[in-house]
Amino acid sequence: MSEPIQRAVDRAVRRSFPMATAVVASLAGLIDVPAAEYNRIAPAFTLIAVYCWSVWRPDLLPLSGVFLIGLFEDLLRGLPLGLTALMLLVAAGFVQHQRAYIFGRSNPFLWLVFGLLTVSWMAVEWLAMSILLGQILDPEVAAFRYAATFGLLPVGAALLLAVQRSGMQNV
Amino acid sequence: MFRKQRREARRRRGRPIRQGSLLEDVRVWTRRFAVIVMVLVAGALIVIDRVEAPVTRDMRAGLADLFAPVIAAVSAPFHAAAEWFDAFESNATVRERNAELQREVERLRVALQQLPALEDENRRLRAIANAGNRIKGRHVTATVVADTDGPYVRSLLVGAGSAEGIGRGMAVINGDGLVGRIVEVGSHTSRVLLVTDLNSRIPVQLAESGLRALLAGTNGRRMRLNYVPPNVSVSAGALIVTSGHGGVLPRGIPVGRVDSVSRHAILVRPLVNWSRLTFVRIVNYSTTGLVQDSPDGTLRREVGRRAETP
Repeated sequence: MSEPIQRAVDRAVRRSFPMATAVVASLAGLIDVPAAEYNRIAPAFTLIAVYCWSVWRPDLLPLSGVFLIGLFEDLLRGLPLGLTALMLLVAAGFVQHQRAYIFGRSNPFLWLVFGLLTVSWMAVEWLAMSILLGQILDPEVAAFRYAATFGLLPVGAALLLAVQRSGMQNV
Repeated sequence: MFRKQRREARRRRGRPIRQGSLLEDVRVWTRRFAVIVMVLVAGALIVIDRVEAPVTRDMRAGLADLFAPVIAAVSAPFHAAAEWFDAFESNATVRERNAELQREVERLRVALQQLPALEDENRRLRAIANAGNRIKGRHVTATVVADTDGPYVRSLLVGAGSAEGIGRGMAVINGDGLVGRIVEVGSHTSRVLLVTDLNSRIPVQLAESGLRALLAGTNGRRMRLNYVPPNVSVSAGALIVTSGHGGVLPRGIPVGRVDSVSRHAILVRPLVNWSRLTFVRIVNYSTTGLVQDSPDGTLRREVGRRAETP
């Protein structure tokens, strides 16, 4: 393989990191942790990945890709098909649209915005599932899931930042 | 988040707003149009999925087949860690458990002595009632590949599919009792809807009194016993088993025990320990005896077809 082709492949691989990490985050939500009730309150890993990349590198996380990741998660988790796709699309679209006000701000500010986004996410998910299942669901689960997702942002962001620093310089 | 990008952002804020070119406008409008299309597609998919179209079922099953090995491999260390913690028991706990098991063995010995008499009595009663309703069929053992449980959907993926003879509606059990039933079948994986899922409805009966009811999942830790006549007393601790009505599940599989009884609801705690669910058995059964009562051949054909399903 010639050097320019190698370089192009290398660049393409590096540019696919945001999408790849979002897919990995989606799969991480399916890991079978044998602890009581873990899966009911498991954090929304995909939301963390999509939020971070939407702030840092929206050019490498197209909304069509976000939509496909949402469909992938719906299919794999047995959720109503299209629901996570729609919610991720709206969340990523909102963050990318407001990026000028978010990007470059302090970490607590980024966390605060994520907190607001997650509150809306959990509320919409709870409401949509209550409508689709035809009864008012226990909001306690959504509250726990919110706390887990919100609390995990610094860890998730640090991991994704390490990915960005190690493999995505100059791409 | 990092200094270089912060500096770049500050620099960008200082720049004058650039007038968009025609190409830029076209790109923006295309992007907006694509977003609208995706929103509409998502809405349409939600509606299609609600009617349980076979195409979405097949897509789910296919994707589960594809990713099941990956998920199983990633989950393996977590299971190993859980087993390690299980093994880490104190002497006192082991002694206590040993005493408990000895008591259980004594109790079972007594019960075992009564078994031949009970079997004989059962046979005679069946002959009198001319029920002829018995469970036959084969069992397939499968590993739990992924726990796809979530806050709103309670299901899991097991490593057996159509290639192993699994079909929709089959009962999934383990040593404790009923786990759920198969709702999606791939080539080598299947999705199990757990008994605690909100969409789960199981015809059951109280093991002692034979009182029939419907057990509904709540997505929570306990299930709700519905359609119990108001004048009937149900006590906490009563065993609930499948009644076999509707021909969906075999009769007599333990499901749970009555946990609490109030004026508004009878709540049942499942017997299965969800956090220790590693292997399950999938029951392919057929019900015979109903066939003779059918005036035409319709039911015979239906039941026969089910019995022939591998």
